[in-house]
Amino acid sequence: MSKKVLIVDDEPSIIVALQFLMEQNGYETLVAFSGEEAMETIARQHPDLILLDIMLPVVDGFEVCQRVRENPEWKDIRIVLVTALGSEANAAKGLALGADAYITKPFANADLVAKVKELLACPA
Amino acid sequence: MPRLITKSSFWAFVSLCLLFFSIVMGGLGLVLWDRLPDADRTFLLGMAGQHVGDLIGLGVIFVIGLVFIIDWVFRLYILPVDRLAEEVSVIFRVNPGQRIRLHGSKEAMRLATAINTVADSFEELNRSVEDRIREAGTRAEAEKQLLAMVVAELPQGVLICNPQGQITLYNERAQQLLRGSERHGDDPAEPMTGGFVGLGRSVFGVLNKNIISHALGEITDKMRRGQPDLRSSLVATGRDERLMRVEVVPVLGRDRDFTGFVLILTDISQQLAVERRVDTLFQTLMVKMRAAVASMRAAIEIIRDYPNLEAAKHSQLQGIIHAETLTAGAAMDEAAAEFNRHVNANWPLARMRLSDLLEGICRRAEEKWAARPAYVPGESDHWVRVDSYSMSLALLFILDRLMHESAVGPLRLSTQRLESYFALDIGWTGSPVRMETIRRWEDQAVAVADDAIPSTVKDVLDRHGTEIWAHTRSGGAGESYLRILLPAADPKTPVRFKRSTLLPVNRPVFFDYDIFSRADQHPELDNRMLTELAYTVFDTETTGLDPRGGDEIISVGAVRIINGKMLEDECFEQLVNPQRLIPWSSVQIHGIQAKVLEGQPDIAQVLPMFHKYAEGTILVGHNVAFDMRLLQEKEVLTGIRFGNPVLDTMLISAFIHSAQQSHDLEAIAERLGITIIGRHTALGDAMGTAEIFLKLIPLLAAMGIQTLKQAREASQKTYYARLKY
Repeated sequence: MSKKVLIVDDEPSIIVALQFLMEQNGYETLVAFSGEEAMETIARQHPDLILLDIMLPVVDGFEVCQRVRENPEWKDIRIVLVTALGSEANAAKGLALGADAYITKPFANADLVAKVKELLACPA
Repeated sequence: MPRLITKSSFWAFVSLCLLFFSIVMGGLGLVLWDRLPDADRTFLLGMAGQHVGDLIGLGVIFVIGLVFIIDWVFRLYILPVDRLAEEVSVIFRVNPGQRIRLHGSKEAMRLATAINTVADSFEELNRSVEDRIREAGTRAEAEKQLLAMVVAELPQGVLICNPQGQITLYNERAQQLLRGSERHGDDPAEPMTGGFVGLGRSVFGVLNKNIISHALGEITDKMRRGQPDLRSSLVATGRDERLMRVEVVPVLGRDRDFTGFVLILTDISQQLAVERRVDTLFQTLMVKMRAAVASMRAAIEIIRDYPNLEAAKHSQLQGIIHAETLTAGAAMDEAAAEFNRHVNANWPLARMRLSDLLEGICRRAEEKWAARPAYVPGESDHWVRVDSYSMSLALLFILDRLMHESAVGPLRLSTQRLESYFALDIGWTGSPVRMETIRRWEDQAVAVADDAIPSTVKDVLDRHGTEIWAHTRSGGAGESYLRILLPAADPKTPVRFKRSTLLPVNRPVFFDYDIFSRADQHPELDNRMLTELAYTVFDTETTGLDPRGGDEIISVGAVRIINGKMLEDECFEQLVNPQRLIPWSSVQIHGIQAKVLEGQPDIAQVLPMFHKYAEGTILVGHNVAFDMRLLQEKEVLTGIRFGNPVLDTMLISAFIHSAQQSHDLEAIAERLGITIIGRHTALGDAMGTAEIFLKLIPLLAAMGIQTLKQAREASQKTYYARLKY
């Protein structure tokens, strides 16, 4: 059974690109356009990995990351923050909140795919 | 000068003489009676018994006659002499223009005439001496006033304080930055809040004491370590929560002892706001650009890495790339517009009337080349933001190039409003100027005859965020133009005009050079010299004369006296809504009608501010018991109690000039050569009373009354002190 990757971003353009990339690499994709939608999808579908933007309306990516990590039932879900916020402080915060990786936009597709494969190959 | 005989002592003397006369005559009578034979005694007793009525009548007539004679002597000879002594003191101490006018004996009148003649010479001599002193002090005064002007006109706020934190010098900018909300332009019903900035006041009333103490501690440490830079810099909050940079600089004496400190205040709230805006602008732009580029990159790499993409996906990714380039472009446009609109404040531009700028340019063109461009000013309400000198010179340079390089005909200036700019069109009849010529001019340094600045035309245009180009207008055959955009100033932004300064007379008194060398202040006010104390001279206007009967204060006016100077720029003046009807009889006196008081704060709001204004000073007023009574009636309502010591100029005048009939404000003012402006207004009367008080102090000193305690004790001795409210 293929692994499920949830893509969370409020920009449709990037979702199209990421969805294509993940599906080309054999992953089933789920999509959410907001933090709230992401939480609903996580509860319903229990993805294996989340590609999570930070600058989301209302509930941002940091909060989604924190909520996922607070739920012991979701501790196996991998989180990759994919964001335009490029400062060291943002990255430190994201990793401190429990993200497994922090990738700054713009990124190389190959690098992103490699990170996803790496994280999904290792147990949580 | 010892007091001459007073009325009471005179009558005591007269009574003593009469008693002595009576005793002597009585004694003689008894001796004679004793020597008389019995028959003579019987005869005399019989005569007395028969004519007892006549005898009593004669006795009464005698006594009455005697009293009238003595009173006549007193009024013609004793009282005038007493008045002469008082008037002489006034002439030679406070008012050389005063002349003695009295009614009395011929001898007293002759003496008065002689004294008036001497007073004429004294006044002339006084004037001559004052002229000489004024001449001698003019240069020092001019230098002092120049320093005062420099300090007063500085863009930073400046406060100089003694070691105890009392303000000895301040400028208007410091007052603006620190004082509580101004009344001018604000809702008049809103009472002032916050502390006062004024001479002799504590700086800790307007600035956090802990902050200043921290800075002074830092300076002390630096002094101990022998560091050369002794200033301390900190950020404090001023009026309306604006942020200020406060530099604390110590003032050291010859022995490097701490004699005071200087506070230099700079308003950084706008600068911080600009920096915050720039930061926000940058962050927003970065995020938007990163997101757009990420989408573009992802799409491009997919296209590159998956050459066999189906057509629909390929088309979708192309669409994404295009859309994100538009998004990136829009983000940059928005950031640039925002930057130009609100943030580009690198070069200080000032508001100026467009017509003033262009008329100035035309005038200078006429001076330099005897060729004045035609210009018809438009609306006088058009304002621009320019660096006047560099823009004027740059435009003159352009005019110079047009006239002498391109040899165009007579030039015309016209303007047109374009949203956030005014378009300045330089027009002429003839061929247009080519763009490369304009570009060449832009790259040249701005220089016109002997006037030059180290900037190119392009530099000047850039700092104004503007451009110059060859412009065409429809329907203007044969007409050519150069157009320059000048940034419009916001018409809603009020223009603050600085007060014009005239030397040396009109310089407001903001400072006193002597306070630094004064001894430390002592808490026992009673034994302090009257000349050293701080006073608040005040007056109230009321609805009537019955404080206990419900009459209320409708106006409070006050002025402070520091170091023998009345500080006219630190007045307190406030109308008060009495929350009751104002009788017409009182309106006829003070002229304040009920409608003027509508919307004014009530006494519960005004009294706390006045209490703060008068804090630490002696209260002075004319017939001040009345005013103090009114204040006392409001203690329960406001919780404000005025525990300041009080002096009354009416009582002091009655003590000094006991021989004078009248001690009302007008009579005293006339006697002392003072003109009261704004009589029966609270502030006018307060200032008149202050001038009177300043002239009474040396008169008291001449009588040995020099301390506050002595002045209060002397006041209590007068007749008027018996009148209580």
